[in-house]
Amino acid sequence: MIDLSQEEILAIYLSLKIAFTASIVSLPLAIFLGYLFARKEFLFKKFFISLLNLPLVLPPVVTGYILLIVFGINGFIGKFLLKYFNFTFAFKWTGAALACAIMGFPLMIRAIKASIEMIDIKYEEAAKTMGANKLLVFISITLPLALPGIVAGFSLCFARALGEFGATVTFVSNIPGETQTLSTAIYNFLQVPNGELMAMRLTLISIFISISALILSEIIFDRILRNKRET
Amino acid sequence: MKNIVSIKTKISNFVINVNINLKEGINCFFGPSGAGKTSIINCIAGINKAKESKIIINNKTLEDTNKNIFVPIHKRNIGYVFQDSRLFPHLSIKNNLLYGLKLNHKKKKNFYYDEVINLLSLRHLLHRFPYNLSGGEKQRVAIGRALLCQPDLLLMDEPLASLDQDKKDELIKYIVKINEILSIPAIYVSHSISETFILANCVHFFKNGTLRYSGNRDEAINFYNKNENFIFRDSYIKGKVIKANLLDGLTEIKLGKDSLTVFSNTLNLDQNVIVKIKATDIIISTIIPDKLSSLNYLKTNIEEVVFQEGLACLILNYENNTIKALLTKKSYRKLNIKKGMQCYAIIKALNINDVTNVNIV
Repeated sequence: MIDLSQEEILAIYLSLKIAFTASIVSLPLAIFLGYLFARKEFLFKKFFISLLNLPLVLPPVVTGYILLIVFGINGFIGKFLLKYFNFTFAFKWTGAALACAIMGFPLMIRAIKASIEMIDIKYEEAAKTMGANKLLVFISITLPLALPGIVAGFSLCFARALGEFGATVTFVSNIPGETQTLSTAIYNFLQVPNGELMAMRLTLISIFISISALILSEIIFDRILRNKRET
Repeated sequence: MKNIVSIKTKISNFVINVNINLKEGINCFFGPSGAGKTSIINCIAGINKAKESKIIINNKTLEDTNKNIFVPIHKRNIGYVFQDSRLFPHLSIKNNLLYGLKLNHKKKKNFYYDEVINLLSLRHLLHRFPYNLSGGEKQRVAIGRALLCQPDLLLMDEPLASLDQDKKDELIKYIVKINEILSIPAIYVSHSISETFILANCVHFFKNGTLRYSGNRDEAINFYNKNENFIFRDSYIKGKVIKANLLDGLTEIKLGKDSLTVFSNTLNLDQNVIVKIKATDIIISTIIPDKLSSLNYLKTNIEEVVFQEGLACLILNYENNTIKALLTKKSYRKLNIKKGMQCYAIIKALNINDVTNVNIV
């Protein structure tokens, strides 16, 4: 059972790499936008929020197809990136990470925005009277108080990325060693004769990874909350 | 040192228009709820922005609408103790205390970490978090935290409001201790007159967004007794304990020429105190009381009689102190009371249970 094939190891490794990259790269942007949406009022705010939430309600295939149109080799951003930066998302693991990030982003921003909305600004006011400027207030008060939401958002995005299938397969296909993740590999094995055993092994592994990730996030969550119970 | 606060502003429909001259020590802002006290200190801290203002603290201009000066909150150097303490929930007590100290480490130090911790008895709390502190402990930390920012002015917005009476008395003692080392002016907002008289070096009375009166404590006690007679029915008189722990649990307090016997064993000899006398607790006699159980009677002059809410309020002069007594109109007619008459104010020793220690400066 432990004796994994090269293909399986690659799929596991790629899944984790893609999910981590997607979540980590999204995080600063999600914190920034979460803060913006929670605290500021501006024109078309509702429209922007809806736009970011779109991947949540669209069929993943549609999201994948839109990514293909925009970031594909002939897409208008894809073309530009290839021409000036010699970089492409198409059929690369980075493309899979982009698809996962876009699919997980609504979940991440939702949790972060909610936790920033929950922070009583009176703490920030108090910090200001003590001599902290805006940036310092954000770093030393707002961020730590929003930490439970940030951790929740990160783990939701990570979980979504780990399970992402439709958008990834549409955008960057299913190339072993480049874009083949656990989900696409399981699907692949189910398509070939006698692939059930391999599919089952990968299924068990993905259950194991998911449970581990959930337990870890619970532990982190607990630690943060221990000292932060509202007074 | 110049400390001037001049504010003209309108918050929804409420107009505030004040010119305040802050004195050394604790300045109490006294007035009923909704008099604009908190709004004024929020303007001083820079949390609220006034329409027209001139605020000078420690010779530094923080606000001047004529010259278009508005120093942002974090550059004002003002320590603020909020009513709800606002300790940072994610930081230990130690880090709460150090937060301001670290940010202001370059300033000239008036308050040292160890000194503040000892003075406010915070040492055993340092490694705890705000959520498992009592209300009184939180406020002590909040006061310490504000002092360690090395402020030019300390603001305290009803820091006792959310505490029960025992905790209030305890925290007041700490604030009195702080006052002894306070080298900066402080503003203490309160709607409790006894708190005000215990703590204040100077009292500012507010009503409906205006400053009614400013004066040192003695002047303020006189003003309070004389002028606010229709709303407040208690009188406050300064005195000094001359005989403590007498037989039967009694203590004697000298007030002017006479002395007042009270039932209390918590007072010490030579303490300066302020005695609260309720207007409804006073019995008036036009002759020297005789064969009466009451231990106290003060010889007074009737200065004024005011009718209010179907009652007669006598404003009595007792050696330049004002005492108010409330009578029914029937009693008033029975005694045939007239302005300028002499009478005796009879007060039961048991009815005097609000005697507070003060250190008269």
